[in-house]
Amino acid sequence: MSGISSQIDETMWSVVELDDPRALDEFAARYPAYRDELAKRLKLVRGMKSAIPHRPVPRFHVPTRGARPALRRPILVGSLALGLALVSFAMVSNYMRREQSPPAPPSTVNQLPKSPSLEPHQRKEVAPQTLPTGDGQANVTKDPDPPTNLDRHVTVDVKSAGLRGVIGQIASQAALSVEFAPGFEDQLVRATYIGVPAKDALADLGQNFGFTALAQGERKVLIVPALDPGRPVTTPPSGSFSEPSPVKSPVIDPGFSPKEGNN
Amino acid sequence: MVVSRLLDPALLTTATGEQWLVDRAVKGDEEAFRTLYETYYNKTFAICKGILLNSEEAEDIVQEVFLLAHKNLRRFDRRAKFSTWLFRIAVNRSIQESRKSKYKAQTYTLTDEVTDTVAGPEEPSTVDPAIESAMSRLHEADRAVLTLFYWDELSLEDIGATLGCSSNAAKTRLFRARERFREAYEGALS
Repeated sequence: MSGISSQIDETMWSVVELDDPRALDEFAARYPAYRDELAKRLKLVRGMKSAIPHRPVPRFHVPTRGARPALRRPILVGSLALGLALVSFAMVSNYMRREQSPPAPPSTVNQLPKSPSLEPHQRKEVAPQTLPTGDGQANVTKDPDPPTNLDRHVTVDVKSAGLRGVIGQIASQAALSVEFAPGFEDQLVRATYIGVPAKDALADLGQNFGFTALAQGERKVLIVPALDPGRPVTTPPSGSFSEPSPVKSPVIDPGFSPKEGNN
Repeated sequence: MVVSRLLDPALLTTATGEQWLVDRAVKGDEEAFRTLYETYYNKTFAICKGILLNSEEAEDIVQEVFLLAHKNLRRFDRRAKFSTWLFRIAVNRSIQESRKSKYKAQTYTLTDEVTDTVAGPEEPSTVDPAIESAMSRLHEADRAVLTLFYWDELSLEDIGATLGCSSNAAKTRLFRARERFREAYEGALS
């Protein structure tokens, strides 16, 4: 408070809050100049203390334990059941849609059916450029497009390497430039392709490791980190290609291909 | 099992007695919680009334405060005093409600308050109107610290624990609130 030193001010508050007659008299005698201020503060503090509100204590109704969880539990269970039902419905309808969709047209170029395994550690082989027919014979279909760099034969044999590096090797051998779309994730792969067209190798890798190689002209390939399951397994006019065989460690041996064998 | 009634009532306000009751209440002894409620009802009501300046609202908030305390008793840190934890809930909840009331543009005139306070059957009949008026002119935080000090007679350490600050900070807050209260009181008298 202005005009009163902080020490006297604090003492005055202490005295009025104590409300002891002797202390009050002593303070008034010691600081007669502050008698009025002391009286004002005493009235203030007494008034404040006398204003303490009192109420008869109403009865407290303790809420029953577990009442709210009991209410919550069915809601939680109901929500979970509803969520589960929705997920099941989505899965079943998705499955039904796949079952009902017509099979891919047979006039494909790059369908790469699984071939019998040649190696003891279950590495599967894929024969490129072959198309099985209904009578069990393998027909060779003609590529309608003229040969491009994508048709160049490449040989890659890596036990453990980055997918990006393997694609780079294929592209390098086929004199292609590669561009990776955003989101492409590198991963360690094992791959063996011996003398197969670059597009087949890329398609096989793409099918196994979740990307699609899109031809951008004759000398450029765009690697998109996504598979299009609805797309027929053909080389579209744009030049993109893929194959459906899920082979994790692909081995493509041209000796298994009648076309290559004829060469 | 109801055992809280066996406790000496004089022990209830001690830290040991309070802790014992809290332990019992946590274990499901509703009688123990009821004892805590009866012990601290008036002090909690004083805090809520001091901040809200309205007896009916304060009563409602006190019930809410005890319900919150009952619900969250397991979360209560046993190293602290139950009373300061309870008062802290009361202060926070009352300030929150007071601000909400401001937004609702609810105004309580001095006449309303005095009438309510004086005419109410349970309220003390000798409340200085200037005190009510001065309190209504203060900020909620100032009213809280004054209420804790003058009405609940808490120590600076307990005020600090209730307001979530040190005892030194509580002392400073009290000094400033008291100074503003004195000015408002003198203004109300003149």
